[in-house]
Amino acid sequence: MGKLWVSRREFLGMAGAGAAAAAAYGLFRSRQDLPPLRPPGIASEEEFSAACLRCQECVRGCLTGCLEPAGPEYGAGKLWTPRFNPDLARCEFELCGRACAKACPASLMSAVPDAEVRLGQAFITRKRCLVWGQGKPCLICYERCRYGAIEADEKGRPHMVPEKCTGCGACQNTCIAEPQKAIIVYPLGRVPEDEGDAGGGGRKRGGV
Amino acid sequence: MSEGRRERRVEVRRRSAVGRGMTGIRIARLSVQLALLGLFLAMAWAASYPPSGFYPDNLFLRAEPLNALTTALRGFSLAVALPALILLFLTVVSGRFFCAWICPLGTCFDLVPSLGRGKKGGLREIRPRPLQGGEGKDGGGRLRLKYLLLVLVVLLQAAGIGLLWLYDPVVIVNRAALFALSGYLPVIFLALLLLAAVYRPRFWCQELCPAGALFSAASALGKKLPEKASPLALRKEEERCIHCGRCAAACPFEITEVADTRRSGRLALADCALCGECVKACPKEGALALTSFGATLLGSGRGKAARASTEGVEAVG
Repeated sequence: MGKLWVSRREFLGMAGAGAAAAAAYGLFRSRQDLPPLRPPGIASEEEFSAACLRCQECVRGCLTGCLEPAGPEYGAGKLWTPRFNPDLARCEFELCGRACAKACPASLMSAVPDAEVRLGQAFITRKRCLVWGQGKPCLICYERCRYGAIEADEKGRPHMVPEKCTGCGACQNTCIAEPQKAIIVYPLGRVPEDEGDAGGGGRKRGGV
Repeated sequence: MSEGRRERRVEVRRRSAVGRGMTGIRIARLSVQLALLGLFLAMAWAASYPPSGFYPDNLFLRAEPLNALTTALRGFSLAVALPALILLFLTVVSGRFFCAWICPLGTCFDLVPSLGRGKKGGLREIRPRPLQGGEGKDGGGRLRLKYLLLVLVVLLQAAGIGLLWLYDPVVIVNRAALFALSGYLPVIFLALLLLAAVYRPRFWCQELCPAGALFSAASALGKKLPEKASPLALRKEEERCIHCGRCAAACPFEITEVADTRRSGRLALADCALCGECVKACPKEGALALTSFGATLLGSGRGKAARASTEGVEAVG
């Protein structure tokens, strides 16, 4: 009585399960340069990826379908966490009543009010842009932006106004540049600095 | 003590949970399990936009106390924690009933055919082991890995390393359901079903599940609670018990203490999920019973149920 024992079979089973979990963590290191974009209103990426249950309630509850489970390319630490993918749809956090935050059983997306939500930061890569790169007329991103974060200059070229961008992804979702989109939402703090306006590209900002 | 050392050898015909041998308690439990699994799946399906105004679509996930505990580590809110607190309270006063009656993963384990449950109609030798006598410690006095996992998961969560998504049973099934809806493969869920199918149906629940460990620990708090105060309890009358070991052989959670203990009254066993299989298997009238506030819900050794459960017993030596 009181002796601690497990049978050999059980021990091997437990050791096997532990080894499998360890191997899964070792194998799935992140192979992405950038962390995934997140649903609106999280406190921090670190807290979110640690506490997220990967239950998929937010993915299911999203109005527009802009969320998807992150694949193994983001590493085991973020596996199946919800990833905001503007290529799927834009985020409508002001219209849907924050459906993902309501769906989350761990209450992880209620940290920020609507007015302060920033999902990321859109950035124009000029060489891919139809206007900047090929001189063709196109201002779909400008037309689609609800926040006035994209302005057009007198030559019809789009410029970012980073302070106004919420990262909702409408511009990326609608961009028709191929094979790669010219305007892409980057995670905050990871926005490229060259070739654009977001990081102070040196161009004068055109007024409309 | 000499009696206590007596060897028992019992061979019991074991059946799959869904198959022959459907009797009152099994039908009752399976009905409750299937109804709640259906509700769980319906709520997962209904969790699409717009969110329901009448009830939280994530009620099952919120009611799972391990999730509520780690959520409370980041900021306690009574409104969010209430379902889990109610469930924990019921666990303290009755036992780990969640696992046998509510848990969607446990229900799935009970539904898969398992080699560990014995082939249908085949004979399987059950546990010839010495009668321990005395009090009979929970879990045979061994430390189960699930408690270590529970402590590890909570400590790591507090330290900023999330493992709950990998181990929480409700989350695993919820993800599996929603993955299935959107065409992804629920690999963890399928791996656990495979484990249940080729090994023992409730191995995960009894040895690994950290939520199960939390329920077990919570039920240990209410150990001293009298039978009359418990909404669901297992009662044993030691004088009527013949120590045949059929209850231990029938237990899906592989608990032997019901057979071994010399106590009478409410058996508050930390690992017991109050499924009633032991009561159904017991051939002696009045030796075992499931009770609610002192009233017998299901007694042993009466009617068809007892005859059906004893006809499979081939030899008692």
